[in-house]
Amino acid sequence: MTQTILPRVATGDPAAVEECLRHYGGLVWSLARRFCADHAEAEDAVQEIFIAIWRNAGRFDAGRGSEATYITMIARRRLIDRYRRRSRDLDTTPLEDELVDSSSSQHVEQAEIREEAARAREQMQRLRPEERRVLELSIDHGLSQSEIAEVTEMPLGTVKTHARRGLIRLRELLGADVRAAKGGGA
Amino acid sequence: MSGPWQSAEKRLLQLLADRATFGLESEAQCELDELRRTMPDFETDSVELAAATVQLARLPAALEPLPSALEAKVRAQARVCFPPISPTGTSHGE
Repeated sequence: MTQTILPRVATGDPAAVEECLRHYGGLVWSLARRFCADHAEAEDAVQEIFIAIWRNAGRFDAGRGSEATYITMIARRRLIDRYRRRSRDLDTTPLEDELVDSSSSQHVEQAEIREEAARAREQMQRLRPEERRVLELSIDHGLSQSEIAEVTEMPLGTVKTHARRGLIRLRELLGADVRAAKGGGA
Repeated sequence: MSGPWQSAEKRLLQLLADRATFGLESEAQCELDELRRTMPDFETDSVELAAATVQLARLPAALEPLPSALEAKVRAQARVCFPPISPTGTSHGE
């Protein structure tokens, strides 16, 4: 269930670094494409994210979540930082769906990431629908509180309340899941 | 069990959730920094991990692979950061 690449990356094992790239390259690239204004920026972001992953590999704790979730967290941090820096200066346009030369040699080992994504969707289903919607609009679509209020026709304060409650509830669910997995010996 | 500690923890969680969703204004960021100083053992990453879960849940079923040129650049970076270990146990390139 849980990958154990990051602890080996933390020891400086070059084979683990290669494995990390093969396993999580697609995940990091997909996230960068969602956040970045253009292809060149997404490329820069991916390089920056991988350096951050390698630097923070030693902090990964399998007792608190999967590697895919941890890597997504690191990627989000870098991407949000970049987004905020950019939005201070520039008017952005959405990322174009341009065709890129994807690696034919790269074996995208997606099964485990798909599994993690399915687990994440299950957790999301346990939230109240309005909490789920607000979190999706905020975290995935990057809408501001007032934009979400407009889209959902909820008062501004209610948007914030749903976002807080949903995320805090999700945190509790993840903690309970990890405890259950430990108890079950998984 | 309720008391100042519990309400401070609740407030810390709220601010972490705000930061992970909409970002924080500088005043709220200062408040968060202060609360983190008073609760150094609090796992602040846990809220960001929850936000990462939302992001993971929304990923498309098929992830796009890294473009080959970019993959090569990341691999080159890795060689600088993680030089291969020679048979004698010493690193190359440093």
